[in-house]
Amino acid sequence: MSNLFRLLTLLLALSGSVEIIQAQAPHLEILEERAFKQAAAFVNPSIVRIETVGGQDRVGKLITGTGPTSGVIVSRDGLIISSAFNFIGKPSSILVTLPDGRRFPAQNVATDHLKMLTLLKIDAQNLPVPLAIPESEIQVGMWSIALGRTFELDQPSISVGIVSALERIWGKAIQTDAKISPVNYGGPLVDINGRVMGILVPLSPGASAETAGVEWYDSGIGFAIPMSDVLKVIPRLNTGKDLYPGLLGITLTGQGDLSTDMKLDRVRYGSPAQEAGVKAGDTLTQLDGNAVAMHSQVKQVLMNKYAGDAVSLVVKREGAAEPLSFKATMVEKLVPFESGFLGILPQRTAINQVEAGVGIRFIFSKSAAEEAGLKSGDRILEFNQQKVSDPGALALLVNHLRPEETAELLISRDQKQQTVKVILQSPPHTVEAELPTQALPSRTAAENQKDKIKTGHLKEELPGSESTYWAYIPENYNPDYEYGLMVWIHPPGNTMESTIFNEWKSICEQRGIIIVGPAAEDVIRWNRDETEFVKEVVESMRKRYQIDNTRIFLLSHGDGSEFAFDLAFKYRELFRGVAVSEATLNNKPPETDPDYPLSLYFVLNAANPLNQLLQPQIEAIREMNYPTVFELIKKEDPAGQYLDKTRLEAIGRWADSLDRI
Amino acid sequence: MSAVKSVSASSQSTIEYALPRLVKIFGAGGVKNLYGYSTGFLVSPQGHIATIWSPVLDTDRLSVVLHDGRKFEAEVLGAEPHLDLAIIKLKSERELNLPCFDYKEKVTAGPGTRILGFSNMFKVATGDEPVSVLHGVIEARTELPRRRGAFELSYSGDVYVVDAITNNPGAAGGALLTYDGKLLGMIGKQVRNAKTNTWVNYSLPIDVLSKSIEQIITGKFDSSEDQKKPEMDAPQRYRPVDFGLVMVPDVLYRTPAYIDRVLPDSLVAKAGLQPDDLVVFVNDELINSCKTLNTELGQLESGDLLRLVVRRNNQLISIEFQVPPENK
Repeated sequence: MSNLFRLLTLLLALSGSVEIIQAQAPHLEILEERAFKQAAAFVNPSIVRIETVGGQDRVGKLITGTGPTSGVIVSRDGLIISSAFNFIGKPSSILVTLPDGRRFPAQNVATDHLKMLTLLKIDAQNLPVPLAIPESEIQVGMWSIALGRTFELDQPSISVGIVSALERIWGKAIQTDAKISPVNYGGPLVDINGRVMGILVPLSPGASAETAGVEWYDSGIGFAIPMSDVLKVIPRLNTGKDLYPGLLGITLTGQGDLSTDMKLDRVRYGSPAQEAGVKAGDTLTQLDGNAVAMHSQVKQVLMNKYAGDAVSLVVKREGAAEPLSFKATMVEKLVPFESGFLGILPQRTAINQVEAGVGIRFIFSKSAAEEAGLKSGDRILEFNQQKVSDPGALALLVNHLRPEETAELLISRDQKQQTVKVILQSPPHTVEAELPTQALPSRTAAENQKDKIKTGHLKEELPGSESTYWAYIPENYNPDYEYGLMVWIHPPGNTMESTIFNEWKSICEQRGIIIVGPAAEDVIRWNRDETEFVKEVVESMRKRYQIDNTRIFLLSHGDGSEFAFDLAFKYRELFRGVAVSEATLNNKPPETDPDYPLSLYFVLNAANPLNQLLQPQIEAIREMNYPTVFELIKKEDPAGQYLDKTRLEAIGRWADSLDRI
Repeated sequence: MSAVKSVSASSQSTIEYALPRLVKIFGAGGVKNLYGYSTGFLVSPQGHIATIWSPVLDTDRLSVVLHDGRKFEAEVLGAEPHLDLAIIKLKSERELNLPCFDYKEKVTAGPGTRILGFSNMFKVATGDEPVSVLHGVIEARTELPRRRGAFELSYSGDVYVVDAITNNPGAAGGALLTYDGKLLGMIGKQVRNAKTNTWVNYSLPIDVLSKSIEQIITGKFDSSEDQKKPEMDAPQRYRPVDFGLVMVPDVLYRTPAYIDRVLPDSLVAKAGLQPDDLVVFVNDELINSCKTLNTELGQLESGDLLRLVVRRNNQLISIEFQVPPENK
């Protein structure tokens, strides 16, 4: 360079003409071009070609390529890193060709599902490991050259761009505007000196599927996993175990990455966060020692961690003077929690009646309680050495245990106390064929009238609201006892008020259930924001009547069901059941939570084409551990008719057992 | 005055040099996915233009607009469908003296070479506006692996694949130049790469086109089409069993070519192949399924050297023998 400079000065001095000098010195563009080629040549011996044999021709909607892909040598003794995308078809055999033409069969050692890398091993020695650029030297705006070995064996393919950004996709990747596609996935992104910056992979900020980000190929938005991160993870991959993104089990209250609401909405039961001691309602202030004030900052830390990695959290908790610190180890999978089930229905007692323990009203057939020899009329006094004063306390204990766990009960039978051991089971996906009603001391309409308690079929509206609702309170309503509440969500276009009233009246009287039927402001459709109104209706009913919180459920038919599920999933603390007829599940249910048990009930005519759709859904929600009754009506009911007596009674028995423990 | 200017030294001077040599072509089309426009570049001072052979030219009312807005009618002088090449000529009463590219200089370039792509992509240039310029580098010079069935493309041979998005509607027939002003090729059509199933940006190399351009202009053209053998189905001269190989049943879309049995005393038995060996290469062609094995073996001729590479456990084993005469 200094020679050139001297030459320039000399020329200037001699001729005084600038044009001559320009003609002599190669243009900057040409020098740059030379540098691109030299960078490629420098790293060339470390880029391998990968070919696969067999495997699926399609992954999702994507047709997998059959062509060769690229990889980079990372150890002298045969370790090769590549993009996991190159193996999504699960090929039965992998072959690696070195730039010198030597071919080797390769073993798929392990895959990193967080950074989408796959480590291969070939049986070779003295391989050229490329030089990596120190991560601190990588800067936005630097030349970045993407290389692959898919076209020709003797020369790598070259695409040139600049570093567009660092720490993209939640801290995982370098972004470049060089053209990244299956032509160079698995190949290196190098700097102008041929030092490796990272390994090219498809990534997407919103999705994590194995093909995510491929839709951005050649778009000027491409990604590479920094080489320092790749080298860090190779010893872990080399043990042969796949690595997975780590999960913590928390959900924040606000929505969107820019939200600054750092209150924890949910802490999933049984998740690392919950086991560490973090609670819903806590406000997250720090992660791994860094202050976090926005959702995106939380993702930046958590979405760049593997299962098995530790994370430290600091939260503010209401009532705690000092911030609280926790340490959690992230996991690969959050297992849906399944509550244990004892198999009893508690006695419904008068509100002011005080008696020790929980009386048993009914024993479920083949349940843990039946196996252990419990009988209706027994009283449960203690559960695992803890006194239980009411059904709620007992339910809390049982729900937080899992099926197969054992418990010791202290019961009293015929004035005598005894201990019983039970092995808890899973809540059933069925309805009891027989469930005797529990007769409550009834009152007459006149008595209720005297106490100014409205009973019968009512039409009302909330104060200050345009929307109306109807209700039915059994004439024999007794305010000394708690009642179930059935919230009827009508299908769009038809309130079905008289049908529901007529069909359900007697069942509700027998089983102690109050009906309430809010009407959509425009009967044609339910608006999403009307969930608030329905909630207020339910709240107002709870204020005016004695309602058993464990027996509030939603009932719907046809297209009204979507709104019913919206309500159930939004207000989990309010609803304990959803029963729908002629409908499928269009909303993704949240994970189960022992504090908010939710039971589901589906009735569908076998002739309904939705059948095909519903069957796998039922399987999926049962897999999520929601107790789900599914009844398929085999006979040809005339179209458009509401459910017959038998079906209604079955739903009635289910509703009457929502307080099961 | 020579029509060919001396080599320029920078991208800016190259662009200045090239734009007057590019033309916008308007012809048949305009329905569905058929664009009624394309691009061409001048290859003689008399108004010969090299462009892509496409349905756009299939009209009596072909018009060409120069960079300065001058509009000419044009006629197709000749075409070489195997190269996707057509030469059209401007109709003019007067002798024309237009700037043009030197197509005879058979320039080639390798990966990493900076390129400029000139084309009337998406018809954004109108009237006296020059065509659009894109920049990038050559990714590779390679044989184009086209996705069969997706596009009818007769050319098979080397192309330049570039990392600029050059192959857009109407861009075909445009020019690919080095930064220092050398004509490298003609921008091709829109096709997908069969091996990766992604769109590929390619140009036909000028060293491949050069001879045909000259022949069409000088009227000495003899299309290779006439000499070309009629398309035949892939030959099926040999099957695996002819060498003593019984493969596993071909039940999948891509059934790996595992050997099920080896016939005793056969050629492959003598060479030491065994059941459960996976055939991975036949004469350096990757065998990724039983189907490709059949295709590759079918093309062999008596006396050819057959080199088979199989994978056994974690080793590659290579065998060779001469292909015996066909069993009629």
